[in-house]
Amino acid sequence: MSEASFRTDVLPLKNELFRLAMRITLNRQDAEDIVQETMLKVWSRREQWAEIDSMEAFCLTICHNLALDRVKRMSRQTSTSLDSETHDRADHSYNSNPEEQTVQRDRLRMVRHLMDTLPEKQRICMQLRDVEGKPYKDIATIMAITEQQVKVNIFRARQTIKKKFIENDKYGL
Amino acid sequence: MDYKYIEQLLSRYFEATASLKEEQILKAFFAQDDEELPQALRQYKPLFEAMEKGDVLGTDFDDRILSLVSNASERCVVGNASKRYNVVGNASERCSTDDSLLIPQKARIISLQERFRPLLRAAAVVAVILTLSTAINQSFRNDNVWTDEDQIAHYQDEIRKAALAAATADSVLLYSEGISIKADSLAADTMHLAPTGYLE
Repeated sequence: MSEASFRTDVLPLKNELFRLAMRITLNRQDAEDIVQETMLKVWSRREQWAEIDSMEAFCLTICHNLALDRVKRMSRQTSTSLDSETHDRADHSYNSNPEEQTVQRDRLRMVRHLMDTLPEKQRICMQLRDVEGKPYKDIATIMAITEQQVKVNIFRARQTIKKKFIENDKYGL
Repeated sequence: MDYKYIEQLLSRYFEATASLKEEQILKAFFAQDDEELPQALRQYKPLFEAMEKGDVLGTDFDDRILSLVSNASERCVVGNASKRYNVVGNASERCSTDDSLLIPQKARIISLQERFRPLLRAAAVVAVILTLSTAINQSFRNDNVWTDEDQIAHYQDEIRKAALAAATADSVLLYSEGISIKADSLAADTMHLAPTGYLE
């Protein structure tokens, strides 16, 4: 396999991989590292490309696993850094402003924050389904869980977001 | 305007029973401007807006990856989390060896007994083999002891012993016979002598 096919088949996946890595690590720099690592790994296995059904799913699987590894390693080193970061972000969503546009922007930020505070599995499922528009089957393959588990995770994620979002909408803004 | 359909889709969305197409319809619907949305549904707009594909990587990332990749065609690149942009590697075989991360692996706690199980298993196999080989060896050795020559020699020995025994028995018999003959002749002598002596 050549560098040309890497350029056309693998490199364009960078943003999708980046968003997934970002959703898992919640850190831009880490996510970028993971995408790079993923691509180099895919490149190092170019002899096997012919056997791969979907390059996209293959890359997403590698990216998913690398990101989870990174998070696990990070949480072992510093267990508080992620929490403090998300708390900082949360503060922005309560800067209420009378203007409609600002309110909507705050709401948007709040939804993003809510998504980031979901349990890891739900977060990943939601990212792949709601943002990337993937079928349940593909998500199950990438995450190495059953389709039913994917559905359950997505159901819970949407319910949590709905509940918290509506709650915040009532009292927060 | 009637938004029943959208409301239906919304509830299906939250129940996670909506199809991908239906979810796309919702996304497209809420992508409209605020003013065009009915007041009751306006609150859901940020929900779907948050799901848009926002974050992207710049072109400098492409350049970096491509340069790393062209480097890696000659040398093997091992992407390392802690060493950023670090190009390691000399042996090209290493490229294909590192596939542990491809298969999702779950960490699990292994008890001491489980950890030593392979070792114990190996020990058990060795023990069985040793026992069997000893048993086989022994049976072979027993067979070897009784070669034909040995058997013949053994039988000859037996025969010789038997012959010796027979000979001994004969001689004993002869001896006892001899004794009885002697006794008879002695008696006869006395018988002979007595009358003569008595007569004399």
